[in-house]
Amino acid sequence: MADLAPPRPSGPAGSAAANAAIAANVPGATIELATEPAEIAVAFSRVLRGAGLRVPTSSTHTFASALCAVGLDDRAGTYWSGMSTLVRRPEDIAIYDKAFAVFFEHRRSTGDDLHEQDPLSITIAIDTDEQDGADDGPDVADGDDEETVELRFSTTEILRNKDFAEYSPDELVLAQEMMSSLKLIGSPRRSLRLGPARRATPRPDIRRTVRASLKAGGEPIERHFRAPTERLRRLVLVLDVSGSMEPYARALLRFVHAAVAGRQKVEAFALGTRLTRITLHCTKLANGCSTGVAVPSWVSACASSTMNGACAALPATRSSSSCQTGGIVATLTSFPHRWNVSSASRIASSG
Amino acid sequence: MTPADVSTALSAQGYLPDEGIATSVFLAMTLRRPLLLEGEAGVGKTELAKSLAKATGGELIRLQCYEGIDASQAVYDWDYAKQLLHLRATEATGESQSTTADALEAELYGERFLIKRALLRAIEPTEGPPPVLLIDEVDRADDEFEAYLLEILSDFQVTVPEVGVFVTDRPPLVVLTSNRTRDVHDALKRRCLYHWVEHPGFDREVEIVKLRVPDVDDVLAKQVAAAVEGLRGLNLYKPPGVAETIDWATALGRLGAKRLDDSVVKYTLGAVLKYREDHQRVEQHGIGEIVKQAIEKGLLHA
Repeated sequence: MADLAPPRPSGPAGSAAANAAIAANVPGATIELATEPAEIAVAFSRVLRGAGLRVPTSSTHTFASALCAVGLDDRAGTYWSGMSTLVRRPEDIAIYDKAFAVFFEHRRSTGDDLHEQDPLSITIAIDTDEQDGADDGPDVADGDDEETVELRFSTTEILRNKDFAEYSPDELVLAQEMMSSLKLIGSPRRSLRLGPARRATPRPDIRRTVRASLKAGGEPIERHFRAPTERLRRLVLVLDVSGSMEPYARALLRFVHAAVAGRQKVEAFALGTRLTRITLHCTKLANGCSTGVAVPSWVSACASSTMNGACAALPATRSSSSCQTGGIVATLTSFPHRWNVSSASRIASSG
Repeated sequence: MTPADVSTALSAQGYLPDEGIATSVFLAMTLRRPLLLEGEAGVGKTELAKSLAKATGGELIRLQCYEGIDASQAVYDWDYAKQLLHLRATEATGESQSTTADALEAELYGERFLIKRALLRAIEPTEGPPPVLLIDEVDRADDEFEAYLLEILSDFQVTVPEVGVFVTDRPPLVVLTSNRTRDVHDALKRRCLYHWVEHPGFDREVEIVKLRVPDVDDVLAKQVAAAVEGLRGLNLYKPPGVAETIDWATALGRLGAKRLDDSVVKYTLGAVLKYREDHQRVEQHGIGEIVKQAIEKGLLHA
């Protein structure tokens, strides 16, 4: 918008160039010489639609009214009228600018450049913790005039996309620190119990209202209401790791630990040839009994299952955990042993 | 009236609009359409509505949206305590003996016990210029409330079942603001004129600082505007808006600073940047570098 030229009289779209441009953008459109605000509004709306903007008829109507109000003799007025009536997202402003230039300023344009994107050169810079403090940025001065977009990753950002198996011991420690700060809450569910509500609801809280009325000589001036409360869903975590996948086991165990430490109503199981309940072990981890990198022996001991075995065992796990959770369906999350970042969508969640 | 008149009137109230804002406001007044302003926090969306109210002389009625806002907070509610008191008073004076139950009930649900909230007050017939209704941060309200708003903004009419229909022939000037934390529904946008409020350009920002902080040194105003512009280019978590520029200039003025330098910037950076990560980013980039650029730009525009 900074390149808005000083207002100058601008004729309506009558020239051959504009008509050609419109015809290019709106296949089959026949644009007559437009002289009335209504005709201009309709023609310009069609250009915008051709360029990919969603312009409903009501907006065209508003634009026509706006043109009548502002007048057609002022470029800035016309430009801003269209902007406030036809554009509804900041992302559309660039398209609008180009369409405006084509239509009102008779600049030649092909339909392609409305969608054209300038080539960008991307430089990837990686910050290590040591360099974070005193880094002058990468050397990108190649005498190149093109705009350069600089992407910067810190070590923690790199960890997000790295395979657990490729972690160095230092990275594993760092990742564990990050994981221990995780708190897995999940979506709460509506409870059957009623609790105090902040606003008026259809359910009066007689007890609290009566209690409050004692202060007002028996008059229920202060009313209280009740509303359903929210409860945490029960969460069952199944860690499915075979003995050969120890690097994943270590990392996934930390995830389970983070889940167990961060909330209540959670059960964690390791799935091997048999199902081992590891909730209590995780709680101990959470209490700081062990913060080492080594996998506790009980995980290695129980982790020798195959993927197929795990899948077959899941329904059984679910029913057993449902029994434990009093028959209320819990969120069941399994960590398959081939799980990594790229297949995060495979984490099954049901509840 | 022309957009230029709007611009002059707003400038007189301490708000310097650019051409786009002036035209949008002019159209909102002429076409009687609500004006939806979107933009980063602190670019002056709310301030525009306040200045507009001062310029037109209409009352500013503000509705701050939040999660869970509903009709009883936005449109009307019944004054329960007052109704109860009235009932007891009629009992005590023996008035209730002489009236029928129906009449008493009708009295309780009369306009006298109606608490008019912002939306209802905005469509009440008033003397003088129509009020300015500011519906602030509409993106924070729920979808249901947005749908309700749509209904009110389309025909400026509210029905209170017990009392009747409130309708106005002189609709208020409605300004909606959104920080774009979520997309406002397309139906509401269609009803409104839309303006995306950008950060002001350098010259306009200098003017704004000088207007809002009258005792600030000219050179300092330019340096502050240039420094803030530099900060916006640093890809910060929360780029500073005009509000922060004004705060910063005020803070520097109070400290008696005449020029920017490294130490003064270091100690007052909290007025501009409100996130620790942003402070770290600026320190990493070098405060000296920003000050240097600001001074150079200040000299360039001297």
